[in-house]
Amino acid sequence: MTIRIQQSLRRALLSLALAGCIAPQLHAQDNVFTGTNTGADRVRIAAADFRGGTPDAAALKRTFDTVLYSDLGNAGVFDLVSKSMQPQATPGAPAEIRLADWGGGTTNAAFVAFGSFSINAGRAVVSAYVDDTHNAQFPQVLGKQYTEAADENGARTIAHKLADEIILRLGGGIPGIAESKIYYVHAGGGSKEIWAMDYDGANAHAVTNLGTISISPRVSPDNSRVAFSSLGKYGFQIRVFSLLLNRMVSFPDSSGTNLSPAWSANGQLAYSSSRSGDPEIYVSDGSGNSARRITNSRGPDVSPTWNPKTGSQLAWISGRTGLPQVYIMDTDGAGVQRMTDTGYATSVSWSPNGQFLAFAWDRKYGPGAPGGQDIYLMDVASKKWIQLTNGIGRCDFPSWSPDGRHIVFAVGSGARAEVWTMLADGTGKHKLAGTGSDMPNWSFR
Amino acid sequence: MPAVQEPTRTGRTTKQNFVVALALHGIIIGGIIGSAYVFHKTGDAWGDKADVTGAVQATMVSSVPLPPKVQPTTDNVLASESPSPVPPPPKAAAEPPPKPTDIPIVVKQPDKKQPPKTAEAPSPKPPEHPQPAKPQPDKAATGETAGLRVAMTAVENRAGTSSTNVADSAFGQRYAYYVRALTQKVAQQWFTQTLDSGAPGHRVYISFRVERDGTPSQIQIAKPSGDATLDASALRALQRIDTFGPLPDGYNGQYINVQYYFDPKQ
Repeated sequence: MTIRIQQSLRRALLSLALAGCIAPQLHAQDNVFTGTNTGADRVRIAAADFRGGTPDAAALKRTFDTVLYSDLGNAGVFDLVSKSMQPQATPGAPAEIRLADWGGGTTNAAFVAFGSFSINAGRAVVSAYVDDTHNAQFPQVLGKQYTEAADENGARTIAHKLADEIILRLGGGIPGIAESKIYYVHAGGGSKEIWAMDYDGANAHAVTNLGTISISPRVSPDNSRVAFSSLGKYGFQIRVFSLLLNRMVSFPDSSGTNLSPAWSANGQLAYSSSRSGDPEIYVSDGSGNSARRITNSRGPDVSPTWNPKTGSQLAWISGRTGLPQVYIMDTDGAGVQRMTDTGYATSVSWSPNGQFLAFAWDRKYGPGAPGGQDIYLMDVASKKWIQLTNGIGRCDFPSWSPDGRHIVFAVGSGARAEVWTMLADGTGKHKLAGTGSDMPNWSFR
Repeated sequence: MPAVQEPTRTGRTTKQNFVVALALHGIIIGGIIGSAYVFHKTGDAWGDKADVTGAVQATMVSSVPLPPKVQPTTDNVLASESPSPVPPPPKAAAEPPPKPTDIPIVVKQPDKKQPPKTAEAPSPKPPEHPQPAKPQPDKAATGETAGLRVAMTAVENRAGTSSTNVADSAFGQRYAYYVRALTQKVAQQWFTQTLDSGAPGHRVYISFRVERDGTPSQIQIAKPSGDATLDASALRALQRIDTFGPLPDGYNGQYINVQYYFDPKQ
């Protein structure tokens, strides 16, 4: 637009006596960004600092408090009272808490989580309680005791378990995600390996060590195996790593390029293979036997994902009409339906409740177009979509959390990619893993 | 006196004037035409490049967050949308035709009884309209959600009031948080776009069971409202729900019976 203004000014100077109308070109930017706020009140909960028993527990207790607070905040279902607005008391048992302090004033919390954290014979013991501040007669909602090893990992685990329990009881029946893991690709030293981390970005560690390019990791529904595509002697092959045995397990090789494995809820595997010359979608069992082909069209068919609710549908990306678009079909290949109609769509992921598809879409694709690839949400039944990201960079590889409230995705490309997470309405974006992390996948549980 | 020399002036002939005028006109016209070439717009006009002409891209919403309808207060007659209970002005009574004996004609008639003065026809009493019964407030006057009375919690949501009545009263006292979460979850799933805003606001009572693992079952209409759309929307709200969350651990029973009413306030 600035160039046009300079040209216009130059032309205006050349023709002083003439009344020329110069209408500047307006390039309307169409961004759609909405939220899915249904207007219902969120439960207001206060997480008190737990009472520390012994002095050596202080450091671990601080970790525990921080992790519990961030877990409850990340859940997306609570209105969490900020630490500065709540009483400074640290009640350790139900008899010690004064509900009036927590239920009124600036705190105004409907529920309080409190308890005691102590180390007993080398084990961290946590007694946790959740009280309802408005029910003076029967305040207790939850009373649990946890025991783990007395180290950082143990404190985090207890905090995650407690947060999951609170989310299950108070968050509307859907279990929390605090114990779920994210598997992703870590690029470094010339190779790409599969790494894993907690859902909040902690505990990042390597899973595979193959020394080659390994991409698109997908963990199985029972958290026992990770399937991914790895560049071997004969091209890209599907490989499976067993998390229980801590080693690779066998998966039959096949010719062509085999990419993007996807687990169904009942243990089947769908992947894209070009063994017939053209990439098509194949479905096999978890060990790679009885592979059968279910798409049959010219043009690449890649990136399948199952419907987690019913297990009877697949969504995938097909280039049968030119640019890659999102399609859905039944597991036997019938009922092919096209979902997107324009642009360049990739990396589709189906939400756990079966209602939405999340995918990366470049709606204005082509020479001279503004471009910009962002994460979009589409309602499967009505094909209406919302844009979730805008202006943070090139977004790709969205993956749903098991509670259907969060989406993890990659921002940037290549060596500068990062893994970010957000709530499913596009708010609450923050970074989970730094540069060199790509292609995240959230576990089923 | 020295002669004032008038400066010589080159007179322009008419022809010369005409040519000059023509030239100036030519410059102006040529300039206009030239500017059309110079300033010709290349590229798209606004909106040309759009893939979808016309309408804004549709946004996906599963429920439209309508602003809460402000309930008109029936106390203040001026603010009410519905007709106020003030009785209509009394009908002007038709004047009875004057009797011929109304106007006394002075006639000398002794012992003539005075013409009976007819009383004015009493205007009919204005018909009494039945006053509309004031709706009983079903929530606290301060606007907060109802306190934890015996096994009854009411939630005010954007569409109306929903209330649960758990058959086992001890459950509602002991596990009030569960009843509150249940109420709120159903209220969230109740979509009211299909409701007829002109239909009279009756209540539909739905009864269902919540099993041990939190799934609703045996969803039935306990008392229909007379408005089939309202009944159907209430049933669908419950059918949409997968689970309310497992029943509290301290509760020994296998299920709870819940009766839930949906009331769309106008």
